[in-house]
Amino acid sequence: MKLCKWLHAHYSRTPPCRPQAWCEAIAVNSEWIRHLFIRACHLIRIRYLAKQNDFLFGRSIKVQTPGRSIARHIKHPLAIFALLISTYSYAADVIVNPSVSQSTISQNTLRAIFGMRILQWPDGEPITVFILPPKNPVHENFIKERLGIFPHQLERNWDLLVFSGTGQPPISVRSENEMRKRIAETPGAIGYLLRKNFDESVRLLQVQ
Amino acid sequence: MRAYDCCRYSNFFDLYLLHTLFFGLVIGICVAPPAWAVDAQKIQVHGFASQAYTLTNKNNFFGESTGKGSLEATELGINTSWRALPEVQLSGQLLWRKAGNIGNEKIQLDYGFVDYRFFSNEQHHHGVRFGRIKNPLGLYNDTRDVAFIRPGVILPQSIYFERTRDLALSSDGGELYGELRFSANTLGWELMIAQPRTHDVDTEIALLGADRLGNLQGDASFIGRLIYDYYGGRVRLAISSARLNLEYQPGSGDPSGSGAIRFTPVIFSGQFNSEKWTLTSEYARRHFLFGDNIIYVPLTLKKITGQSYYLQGSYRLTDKWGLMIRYDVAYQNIDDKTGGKLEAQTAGTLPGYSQFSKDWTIGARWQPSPAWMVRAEQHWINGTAWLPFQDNPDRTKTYQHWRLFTVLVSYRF
Repeated sequence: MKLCKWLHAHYSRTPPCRPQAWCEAIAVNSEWIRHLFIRACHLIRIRYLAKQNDFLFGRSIKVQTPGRSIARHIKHPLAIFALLISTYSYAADVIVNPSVSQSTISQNTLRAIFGMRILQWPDGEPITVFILPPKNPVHENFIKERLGIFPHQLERNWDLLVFSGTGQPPISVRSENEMRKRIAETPGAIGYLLRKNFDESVRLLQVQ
Repeated sequence: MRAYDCCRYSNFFDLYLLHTLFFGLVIGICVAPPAWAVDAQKIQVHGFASQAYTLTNKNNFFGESTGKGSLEATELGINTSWRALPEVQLSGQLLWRKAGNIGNEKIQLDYGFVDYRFFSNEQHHHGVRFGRIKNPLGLYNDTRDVAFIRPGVILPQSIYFERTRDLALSSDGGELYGELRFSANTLGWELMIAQPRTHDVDTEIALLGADRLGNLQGDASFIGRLIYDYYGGRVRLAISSARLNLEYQPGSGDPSGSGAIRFTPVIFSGQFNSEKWTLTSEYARRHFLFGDNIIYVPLTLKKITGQSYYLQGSYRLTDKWGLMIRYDVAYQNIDDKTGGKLEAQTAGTLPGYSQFSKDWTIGARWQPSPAWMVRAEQHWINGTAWLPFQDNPDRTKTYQHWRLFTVLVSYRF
């Protein structure tokens, strides 16, 4: 816990520490761990294990993988942990206005909502989708990690809706603070925030 | 050339639709509760503007492009959409376009319709649209005038012909549509019953070889599309088809009689998307059937089948830079791919190479900001199947092998 507090004080992006956050961090950053494992295997010359890491870790589908060049520059073991947590905290979570009755959502439904295909919640309330500007790292990471698609795909689909008249794009806000404010004041609103930017005015929607 | 442009029925229909849309919006805003009228989230306005420079070594494309090049390729569009109710949306787009000598330079209502989604839940939704609707053909027809969505400066001409664009663009009528979602798969469908827009002289030139004395009218036609989509577009497969019915009515002193023309294209589309790559391919067969009394048909054929396909790869180097390569092939008549028969029968006035085209294209994209885009493209072309007659009135002065270079600057909001 001391290490957590030290990290939090020195790397302000890290979320307040909770025991399960470490487990999540390990799960989310399995790519990093696998990478370190391979390097360690090479270092102590167990080539066979290095090659068999797919068997140990499973085939990765993570979009963001750390480059070798970054890893080479990491000298201090604490820096590795800091990096682990900072990349973890970039994957934003889905939040909704408290008026939304459901507490979980499937990734497929979420993708359809952010693709502006589903326009109403099951109880009939209209959905208002908020996004950060494209090219924003939080936006890009959210699209990749939480929706499982590439930002350019989604943007092209929005353009198709706009310029054929068959739909409307989501509303783009400038910052996460504005996002939280707009979602809190718009019934039926949905968006995403990094965990450190949550408060009671909005509600977390668990992705299954 | 365009003596009867002013008194055509379709123009009245244009105006009628425009007025309906405009007054509909005004009345809607006045009658609706004030909360809707001021709710800016539900009314959106978007637009685009693009300007291209075209340079060819032989043959003209988009104006007098040989020699110094041409700037006669401009697209301006503005659209608005209003989600009046969760289930109802009103949309309209005005378009002004200059493309060499193709088309008229008037502001046109590109689309304007009411969309009512009568059923929707998490797994599927279905709805209906009324008004002027974009024809759901292939992957790009719905948005063919928006440079930002096109994969290059010029769309693959084998399928998205410039010279018949009005016929393919949008139609006046109704459409049923829907979407089914099961896990990561999406199946969308559209079925349209409408009257094609044929008021353009260009349709006549494309179908009957020249601006004839008579008049082409659109009859009730059908257009349908089925799109399968995996994981938000990682794989996209589509089949679209149409049965466009037209009627030729002879003018005074016209040697030809009246008759029906039926155009039945079938387009198969496939696209694969990864983070860096987009691979696209479309294959089309185009069937034409001409009525017996129409004499303006090459080879006096009553049945012609054309064939088109292209393969295209786009690569995103970074967010700002991208590259594209494409090979695009069109045959006007699959029974006479080289055009030899036609050339022999017309004693050389219609050259054989006007019956096919093979186009190699490489292009680059630079997008300094989400609103601005610059594209450049080089084509090496063999054949003149899709060369606009309007820019090359004397067909004996066209050339088989030609090159085309084009640069486009586009802005959107």
